[in-house]
Amino acid sequence: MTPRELVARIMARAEAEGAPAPAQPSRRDTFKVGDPDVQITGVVTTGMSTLDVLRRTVAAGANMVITHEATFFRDDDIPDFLEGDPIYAAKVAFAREHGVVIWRDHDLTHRMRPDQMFEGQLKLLGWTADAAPPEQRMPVVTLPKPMSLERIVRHVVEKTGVTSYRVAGDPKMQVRRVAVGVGYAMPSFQVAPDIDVIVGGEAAEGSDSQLPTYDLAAFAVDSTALGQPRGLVLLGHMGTEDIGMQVVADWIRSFAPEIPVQYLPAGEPFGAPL
Amino acid sequence: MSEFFLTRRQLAFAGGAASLASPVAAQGKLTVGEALAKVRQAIGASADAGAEGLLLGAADQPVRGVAVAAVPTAAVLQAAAKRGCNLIFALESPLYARPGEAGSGYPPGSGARAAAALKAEPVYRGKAALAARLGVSVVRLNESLQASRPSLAADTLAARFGWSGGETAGQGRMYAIKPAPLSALLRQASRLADRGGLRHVGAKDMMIRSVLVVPGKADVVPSVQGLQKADLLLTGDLREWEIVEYVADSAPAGRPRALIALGRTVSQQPYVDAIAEWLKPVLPGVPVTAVRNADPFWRLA
Repeated sequence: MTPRELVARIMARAEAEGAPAPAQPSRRDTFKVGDPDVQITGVVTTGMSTLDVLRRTVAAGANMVITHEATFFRDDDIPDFLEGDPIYAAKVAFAREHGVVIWRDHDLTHRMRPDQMFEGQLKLLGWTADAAPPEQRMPVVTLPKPMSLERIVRHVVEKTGVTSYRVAGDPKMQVRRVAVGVGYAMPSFQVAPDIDVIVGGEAAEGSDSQLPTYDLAAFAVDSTALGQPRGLVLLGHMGTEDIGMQVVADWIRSFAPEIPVQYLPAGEPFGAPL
Repeated sequence: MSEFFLTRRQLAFAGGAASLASPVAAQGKLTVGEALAKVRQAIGASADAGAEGLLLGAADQPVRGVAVAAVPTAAVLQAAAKRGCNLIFALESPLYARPGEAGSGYPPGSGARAAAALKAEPVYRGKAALAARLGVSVVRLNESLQASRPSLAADTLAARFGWSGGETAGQGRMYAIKPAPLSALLRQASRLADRGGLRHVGAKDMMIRSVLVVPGKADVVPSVQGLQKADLLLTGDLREWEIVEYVADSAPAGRPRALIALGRTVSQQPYVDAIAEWLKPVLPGVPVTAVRNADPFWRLA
């Protein structure tokens, strides 16, 4: 099977499961490097196709990477600003030298129902989403009994293993309802009634955000100061979206059993705090 | 969204009509509108840029004292009032975001609807009520000041690390520094980021000789281009799946680069302090002070 044939099979399977290709083809979910018509020796799924992941892919005997996030350092993956850049050049050269083919699987994962990224994150955290109307994309979890924000943080940090997480809010506040985000796909505190805490990936600080996206940390701080404690837990992009690509690996194995598929997490890019 | 523009229109005539309307102003005290007009004149800006302008309060309010802050949180409003200040110049909006929609990628009208919904929220209403109770006005001042003093934000942050002599590079400034390991710079950074928003990429023993300083939020294209010459990007906030991936790839590519992200608010504090100093001669006779935002983030001990 070739990468092009595998992607066609993925798209057909997604359509059969209720996620047809959109009228406007995704600009993200395309081949980024390599020959899509070679024979696949093995497939790696990952949250982000870093150079380290490409090396581990080759060491594992695989030649196709299916990545959730960008390869060339910008969401659109257009490398027009990287001409002459030695890091970009080294990445492309490594992929070409080792015959690595990279395909991005971003928009499709979020189009699937359930969204494969949220499915992975909820499973990792051991949480079950409340029943919700179909238009509510971001899951909400009502905890069986209230617990402190500090205890929530200990739980999610233990489950994800991240060290560079960030938390806003009063550690002692009692939490009953949690809205869950992944990557940069963050719910607001208004996604559903009575949200105490958001646990997600990353969110911009400050007022560079354009509404409806807003500064969740400042909102939580103000809400707490004004008498309604709210909290925000940011686990990082890979702390929330790597794991969804394990769901994708399991899914591809179910309809392409003839090729080896493994999940290789990109891992947290940040170093351990001082 | 319309309220933003209404307040800006109010501001446009504040310098004339409001000074007559206010009895205290008539006694010679500067009003909020007049103070902003003086600041605009000093900046050389004829009108508010982007989402700048009076966002909470009244243009004809006499000014007792001016506070400068990065984010006009409820705690900042209270701290300013406690110091006798009733006008806050803030880098960020009290509404937690910009109201603009052009190029946002969101459906038309969603920004305006979200702004209206957020303003109806008890949190924003509570903050607006607090501002009214304290008699504090909030003016967002950011882009026009940045355009007028393009090196001030980076130079003041760099100075906290003991660096000077920077050159303009993209969004920020480039500094050649006395070689130091990343770990030493992280220790310096941790004294600015007091509660836990500090993040880094790179080996702690990596020697740093040049730094690209971008307070606030670093954008991918100028940052990546700057990192072709700099060992380290020192910034506030950035997208993890763009610049961070580039820095993470640099060591395996044989061209190690490093990143220190202080958190947006923390990275802007030296700039806030400098703006307060700059405002003093612009508003003679008015007490001006900087109010520090606490780092909004923490980690487990």
